[in-house]
Amino acid sequence: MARFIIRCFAFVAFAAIFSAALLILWGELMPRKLRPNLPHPVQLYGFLDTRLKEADASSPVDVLFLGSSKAYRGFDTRIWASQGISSFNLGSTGQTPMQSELLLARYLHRLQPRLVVIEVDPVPFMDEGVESSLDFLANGPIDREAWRMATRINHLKTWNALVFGAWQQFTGRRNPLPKPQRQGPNSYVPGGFTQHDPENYQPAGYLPPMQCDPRPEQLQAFLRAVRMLDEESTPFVLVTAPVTDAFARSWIDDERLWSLLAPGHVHFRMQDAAMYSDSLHFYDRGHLNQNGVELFNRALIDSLGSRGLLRPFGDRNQAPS
Amino acid sequence: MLFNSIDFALFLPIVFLLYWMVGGSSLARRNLILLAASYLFYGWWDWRFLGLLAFSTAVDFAVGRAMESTAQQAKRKALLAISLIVNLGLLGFFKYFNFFAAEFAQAFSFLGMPMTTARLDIVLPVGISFYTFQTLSYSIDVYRGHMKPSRDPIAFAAYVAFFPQLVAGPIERATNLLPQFASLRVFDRAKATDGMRQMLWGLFKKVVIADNCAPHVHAVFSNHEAYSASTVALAAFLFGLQVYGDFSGYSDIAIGCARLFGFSLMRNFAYPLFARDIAEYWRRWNISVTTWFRDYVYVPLGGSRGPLLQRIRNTMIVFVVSGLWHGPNWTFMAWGALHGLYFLPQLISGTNRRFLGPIAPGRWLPTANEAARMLGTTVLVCIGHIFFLGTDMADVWATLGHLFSTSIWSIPEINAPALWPLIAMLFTMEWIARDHQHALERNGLSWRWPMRWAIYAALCFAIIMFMRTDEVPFFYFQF
Repeated sequence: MARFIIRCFAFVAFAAIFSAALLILWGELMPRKLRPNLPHPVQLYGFLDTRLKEADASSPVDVLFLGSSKAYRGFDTRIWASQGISSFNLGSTGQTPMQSELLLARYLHRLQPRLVVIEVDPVPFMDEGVESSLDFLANGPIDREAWRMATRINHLKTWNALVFGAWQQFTGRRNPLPKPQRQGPNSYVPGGFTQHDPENYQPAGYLPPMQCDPRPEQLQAFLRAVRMLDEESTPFVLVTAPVTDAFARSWIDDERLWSLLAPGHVHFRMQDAAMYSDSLHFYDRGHLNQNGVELFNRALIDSLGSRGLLRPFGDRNQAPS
Repeated sequence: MLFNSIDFALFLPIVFLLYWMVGGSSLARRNLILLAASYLFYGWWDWRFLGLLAFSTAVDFAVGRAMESTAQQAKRKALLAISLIVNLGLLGFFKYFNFFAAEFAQAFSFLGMPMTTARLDIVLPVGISFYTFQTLSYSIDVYRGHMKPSRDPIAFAAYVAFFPQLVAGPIERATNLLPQFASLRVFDRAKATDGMRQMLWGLFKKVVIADNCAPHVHAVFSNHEAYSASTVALAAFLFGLQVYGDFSGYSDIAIGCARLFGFSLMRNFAYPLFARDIAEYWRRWNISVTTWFRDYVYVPLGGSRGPLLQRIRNTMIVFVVSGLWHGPNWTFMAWGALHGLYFLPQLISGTNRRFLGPIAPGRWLPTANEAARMLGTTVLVCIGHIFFLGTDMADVWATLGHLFSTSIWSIPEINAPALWPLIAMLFTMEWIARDHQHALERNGLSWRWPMRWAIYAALCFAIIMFMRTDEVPFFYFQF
């Protein structure tokens, strides 16, 4: 029996090495359709590669934005710069608290923000964080934080992406493609914002109710991120970006999530902070068009200003390069 | 707990080590460990139904003991009736109550006596169709005198709840499995290694083949009007592979897992994809259930003895009942009846035992005649799948009407580039191994270990690369 157990361990080790080698070979040679568990979405959506490269070279800023697509499509750093506030937008597609935690660990010291704006929405808290992790592992560095995120997510696709990403990084062939500034209707704006071409939304009317059921691991990641900010004495606020009226009303029980996230913290729920029109200020049910972005950012700056949260920003009034 | 879950990947080695190391040479201790592990395995899904399992076990154990203590035939018959009523009663209550209540109400309404019936909102305990049949086989075999009743409650409870085959079979005969609990198992490295290989192949069939066929089948059959007839036909074929991969995969994992603990379970699938006629198909498909119905329904009805009409009746009853076993729906019964009708010409012409031997013995490829027969059997089975998948009979007729339309000649619209090579791999591996118990039993065994291990590791890679990452329960759990 001992021999059987030893051989089992030996086979597991052999299979791990052999499978990793095949995974790399498969990832290098096969088209995406033939590698369903290794999507490796390089520069596929959200400009994360471009954004992270810019963040790596960026100097300290007044405000740092984190969150999902509502963040990188919602917080326009140019508007903040016009108010004398430097900022950087580290939002990414489907970013969950697990990825926000990773970004804070990587960039908090580099960007030294005086205020962190965390965009909060029920969806990322209900998500495993796998899709977003693939984005990070395909477009960001494979470092200790990436390993930590993969361990916490513990999903097959994430592990595959980590192994393949580590291989590409080791062989110096990480993201060799030219960095596009424009993809479809989306344009990357230096500072991390992504602008969508002018488009108006056709309101869908009724949307089925959605139960807000946050995952414990995302709540824990959020709390770890908050603790990190507290340890660095970096103030932060939570912001819920506006969405179309029907979409906002479709959530059931989101109050419970806010009560879990926001005790003792400032939480701006911007749905009613300005007069948004579904057809004039949105291009889909969850994202503002540029008219809406203008309205939202100015309302948020006013709200932050009225709470005295923007007061100390005097000496870093240049926009990020 | 699912076989294809992280929970089970941790559970199995822990139980394995406890069983062989803590269990030592004590039969009672080993059985106790298996019993505790089995109840943990079952309770992982829903602990509330452990009581049901324990109740069913206690009733049949007590019935067996009582039968032993009496020689009076009438008493023995009454005891058997108790076992049948309890087991079939539980099965009927949980699985068929709502169906029969609704059907009775509809029948009375049809006769001008409208009535309302209560509809119970009950959860079907997973595996109830499997373990009740297993305990029934014990009571019946004790009654028939085919075996002596168990005197060891722990061994008997472990036999009923044995976790590898508890929730989806193979449905074991007490005469085969129970004696194995009564004798001290000896660890056999060759058997355990072969068990691991069989589990690996079963896992591949489940998570790579079945789970990847499922979304295409679901997409087409949930809205078949939107697809061409050829697409519906291809989806019916994929459904066959889904069910085969799922169920035979589960059986392979169960059999392989049991071998790790020194048990031999009966074979449940014998390459039904290569069956040359319907009779052979049923000798190769879900063997434990098919033979259960043969031994406990068909034979008591008179079996193959008696005049032709009686044999036809017996055959049809068995097929319809086996259809009903799958669930409370007319579509399942119609599916069973259809297979019965497929079978009848062979029964009448006396050709139902034509293909008992190996397929294409000594040849690399089947002959044209064999290939045509396999294709014909596949087509018949796929038509049956339409019944199996239908939500009701109206849906079945609509799908069949759509299937036999001119769009059957169009190019199917299922776009699954990764799936076709995997299916080709399944067919190739199973074809090569068609004379063996499972696809990895002999394949490559004569090769040196690095080559052999590389093949197994390549299968692991296929699982890693192609498995669905959302948890897909085993299809037959619902039965």
